Amino acid sequence: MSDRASAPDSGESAANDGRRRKTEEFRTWLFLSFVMAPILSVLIVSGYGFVVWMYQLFAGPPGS
Amino acid sequence: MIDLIKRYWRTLTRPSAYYSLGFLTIGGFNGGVIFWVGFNTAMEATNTEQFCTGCHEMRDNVYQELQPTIHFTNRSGVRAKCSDCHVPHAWTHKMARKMQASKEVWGKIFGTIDTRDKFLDKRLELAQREWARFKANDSLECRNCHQFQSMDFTRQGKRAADAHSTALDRGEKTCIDCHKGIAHRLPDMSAMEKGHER
Repeated sequence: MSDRASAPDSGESAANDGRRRKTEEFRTWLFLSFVMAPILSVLIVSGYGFVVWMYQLFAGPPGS
Repeated sequence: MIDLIKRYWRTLTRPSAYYSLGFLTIGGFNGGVIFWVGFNTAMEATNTEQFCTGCHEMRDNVYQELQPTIHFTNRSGVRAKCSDCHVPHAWTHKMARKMQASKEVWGKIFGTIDTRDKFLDKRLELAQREWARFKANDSLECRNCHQFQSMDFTRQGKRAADAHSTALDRGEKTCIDCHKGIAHRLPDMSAMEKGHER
């Protein structure tokens, strides 16, 4: 299944798994914090602004 | 490839085995700070005069009309830029207006007012929208700079002092009721019904 090299010794293979897991965790954290969270924030805020705009179409401008 | 996705999904949905709570939360929080700086920079950039007058529709029409007026050049040099009056300052209403700006993007792409004649045909409608906005929020964007409580009637002309100390003070009128056309030229009002100028 995986094409990554694994040593036959189980201790070394466990350490490799650990290193790989650590790398994956770090990349996942990077992706979440600097890609997913900003994109989500923009979507949520612009979605909110859009909903308020639509509401103002029939409720009138703010203050009315 | 599928395996890669499965692996990352597993990493995503399980507790971190190798990174501390401190790293994750404080690091993530700082990521948020960087985002917030970027977001507000973008908000400010789309509020600059340079941005607004980037479209010739604005630059050649209303921006030209603004330049001889007191809101552009005056004794003290304190002046208004486009967004000071036309973009609500309050956050929610500002977000709504920024989304509404997609209409202006549409107008730019499809040339809604891209000639002088098209602009003149539509300008009363555009002006009325802004007047309605000012009426609804009691000319809030005027009052962001012009504080009624700080007005010194002794330094105003008689007509102004009379108007301000009566109708404005009592809340019967709001700034835009009398000051239409102060920043740009007054549109051709003949299409408006008589008695409905205000």
